[in-house]
Amino acid sequence: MIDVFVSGLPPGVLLIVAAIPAVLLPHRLSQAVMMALPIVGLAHLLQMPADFSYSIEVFDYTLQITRIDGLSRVFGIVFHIAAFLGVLYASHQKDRLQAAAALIYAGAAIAAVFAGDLMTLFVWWELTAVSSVFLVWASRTEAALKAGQRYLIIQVMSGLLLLAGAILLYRDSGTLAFEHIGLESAGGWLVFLSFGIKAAFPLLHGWMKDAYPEATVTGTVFLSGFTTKLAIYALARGYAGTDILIPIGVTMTAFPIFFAVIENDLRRVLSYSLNNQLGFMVVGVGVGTELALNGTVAHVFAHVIYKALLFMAMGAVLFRTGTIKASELGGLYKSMPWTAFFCIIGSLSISGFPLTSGFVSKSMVLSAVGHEHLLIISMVLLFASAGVLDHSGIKIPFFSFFAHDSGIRVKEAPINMRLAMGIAAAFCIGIGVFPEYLYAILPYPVEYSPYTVSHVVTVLQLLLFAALAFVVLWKTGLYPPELRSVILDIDWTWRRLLPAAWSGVSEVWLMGQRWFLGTADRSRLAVLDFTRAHLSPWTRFGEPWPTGVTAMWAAVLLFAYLLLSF
Amino acid sequence: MADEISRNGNQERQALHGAAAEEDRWLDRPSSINLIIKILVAACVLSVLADFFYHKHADYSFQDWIAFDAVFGFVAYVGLVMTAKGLRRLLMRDEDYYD
Repeated sequence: MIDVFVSGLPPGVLLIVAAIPAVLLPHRLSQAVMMALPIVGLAHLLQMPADFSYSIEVFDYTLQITRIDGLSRVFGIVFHIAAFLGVLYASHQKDRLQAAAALIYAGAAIAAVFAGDLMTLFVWWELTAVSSVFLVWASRTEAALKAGQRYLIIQVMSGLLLLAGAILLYRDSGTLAFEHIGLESAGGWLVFLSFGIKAAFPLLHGWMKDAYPEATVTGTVFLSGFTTKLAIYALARGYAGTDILIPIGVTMTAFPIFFAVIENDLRRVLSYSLNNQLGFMVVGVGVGTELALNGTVAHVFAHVIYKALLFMAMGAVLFRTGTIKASELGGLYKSMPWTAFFCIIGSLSISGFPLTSGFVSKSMVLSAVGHEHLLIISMVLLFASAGVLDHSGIKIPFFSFFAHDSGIRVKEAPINMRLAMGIAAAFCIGIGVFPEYLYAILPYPVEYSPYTVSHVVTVLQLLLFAALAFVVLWKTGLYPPELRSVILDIDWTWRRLLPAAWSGVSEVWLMGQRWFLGTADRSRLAVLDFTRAHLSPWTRFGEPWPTGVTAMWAAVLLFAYLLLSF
Repeated sequence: MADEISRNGNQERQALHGAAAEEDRWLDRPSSINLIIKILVAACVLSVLADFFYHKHADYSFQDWIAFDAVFGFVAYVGLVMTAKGLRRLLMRDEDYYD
């Protein structure tokens, strides 16, 4: 019985239950165990049947805690790889709290993609939120503390929307199963909004560019991998082919790149870039054909790795130099050549150059949109692809490792960081050169060949001429210089506008209160004065009246009453 | 963590900053930069010339025009960067704005 239960538990639970014992071991042993955990977890997942389900009964509900199928399996695989890269990258670090939080976070995200019902999903969904915030707080700065609080509030809100939506859906349909949901019911909309927050839909994206750059050097590497891709998984499961996702996704590809161009904090540039990449995936889910969904999943797989690589490279720069502001950096290739080299591979991949992972995955999404003849969408995605080349392809490596020599000379990144970056870079090239291995694990059969002459040439034209445009702008001095600055974004509304509005409202309220109390006070005094002046014992009305006068007035009143009653 | 990073960073910087006269780097020479730019321009020219030697089969007919993606890439890039540069007037604040 116990055997059956344990073997039925979803992959990911291993990382969660082993996290705390693992971090309590002596440092070296602890690092070895933590690195082994994702490997063991991945091996376990790969030997499990490709279609597997395990349910438990809780009260009157059946909860499908494990569902392995074509869609969840590939997310599980790449999440294990990301967890391994993250642990390796962080293995120089002795912060036990952070290490435990990272493992629990990765485990919760893995378990979440194997959740077969909305209640199980909700539990893991909230655990990813609560565990990941420690990766922000672990920076132990004032800014990180506040950003973490904002992050946690928004993440927990997403969970509560999911719970509320799940309850409504259960009331309507009598089942908690997490299958296609759609937007036909109120519950469907609530769950959609919940997923949308985590997927950083436009205007719901503020938490990511706010919190990710405040997290620790290693924390951001973990954060970049799981939360948003879990949301993409959930959208692909529940809302494939939902038309509204196409305009939402296309806005996500185009909107953040303007901010990425002018942002100075390079880890924030990468957060905007992450948002832009999510846009391609959301469009793919919205198109919803087999090619589009395959493209989305392939793009998730490639993206998790090259994005982690880029965050690792920028993390290494921050770790060694103490800053990640483009305005302060430059010329670091001289002291960090390996980091620069791996970063460039990540940049080529995210830009989608042929022979890299981004090329073989993004092109599936673009082709899927093209096959549906969504002209405007195609053109915006093409524009966004040229934009990616600027912020992630050129800006990230150029301003940190080249550009003007900042004079900063540091040691190369620690060996564990270089190893993690090297493995990630190998994946980027490996997937680009041998896409068939990635295509083999996608949810639907793949009949797609990225390396056609037409495709290679058009992509090269787009990217090379965009690079040429950079050279022209740089040489003519038109390219915007990197400036120490803050760029306002949607989080301004809750960091400045709402607090200002709130203090405005309370100001007006206080003024009203003061006026009311003042008036009330004045009227009270007026009544008091009047009474004193006219009703005191020594006044006309206050002095004792003779009985006859009183009797006469009583008679007058009775007479008046008599008259009125007729 | 932040303390650890900057402490680490400062020590590294002090230890290695100005560590004697550095060797001459290939990338520091203007001639090398010019060579890289020439290679890029040559690659651009080749990618457009390639359009004459195969039959395109794009999803939209106008994508079959010679050098469509080249022009699109150049214009999109310049448009994006210059628009973003203009957005700075509206969105840029001092570094301590939120402090």
